[in-house]
Amino acid sequence: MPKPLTFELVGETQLVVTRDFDAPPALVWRAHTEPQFVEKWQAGFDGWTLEIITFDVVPGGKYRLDYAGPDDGAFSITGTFLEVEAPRRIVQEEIMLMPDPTPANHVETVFSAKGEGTQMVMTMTLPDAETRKEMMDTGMLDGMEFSYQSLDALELA
Amino acid sequence: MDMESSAPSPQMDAAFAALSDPTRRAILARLAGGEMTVSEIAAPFAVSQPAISHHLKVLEQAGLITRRVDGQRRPCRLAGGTLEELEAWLDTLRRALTANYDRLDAVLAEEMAKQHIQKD
Repeated sequence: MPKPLTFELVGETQLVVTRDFDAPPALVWRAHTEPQFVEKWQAGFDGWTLEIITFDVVPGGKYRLDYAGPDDGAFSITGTFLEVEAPRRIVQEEIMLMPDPTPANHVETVFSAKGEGTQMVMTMTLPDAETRKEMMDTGMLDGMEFSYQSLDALELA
Repeated sequence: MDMESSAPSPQMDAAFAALSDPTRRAILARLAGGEMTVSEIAAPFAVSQPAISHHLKVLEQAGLITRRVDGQRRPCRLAGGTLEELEAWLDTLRRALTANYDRLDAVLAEEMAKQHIQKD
């Protein structure tokens, strides 16, 4: 059974995502920081592929994930790791290339032991309204109807 | 709030702030059924009608509802654009994250099984 994801708006600019895992923090940490693991689960929806170009999990280290999908769809997620405290906390600044860059999105992820498993709390500072509007203006979001392509393109927005 | 690098986003910020209150979210859910007067909206809530009126004012200023004049009444309805944009964006993000983490569960389970075998 998949575990529930909680998704809360906090204040005016933040989104907080909470999710539990059965695995202990040390393993959840590896799944977020070792590229061969990341490639397995952040691959997006069916029909899309993920190639990890760079993934240097140290303070100041860069990352770049290239996605390719149906109808020549493509985008990239790039960023910089700002703080890396194994196995409990990662702070990163993320920019998506659509291909135009979005403003930096600040993301803090904290893993803590919960029973034999892990609780993850991820706090995202939302991209500004202008970015969201641009995404919508490009037709990626058209009312409430989505293609898998648009779902995937916004995966880590 | 980012005061330096990016343009201010009063409309979307106001919308997020408005949606951070559970009573206001419940009001929006009621209005999803169609246009209502203030007293109709207030009926199921334990809070006073003036409190509901205040919430409606916040929602209106955030662009989430519109009101029209109908004699003595000012019925409310959901506004089209802002709320749909917000819901669409949040729904997309939530669904994408859900898919990713469900996949991660399988990856973690596989890894734990491997470690278990190695221990034996």
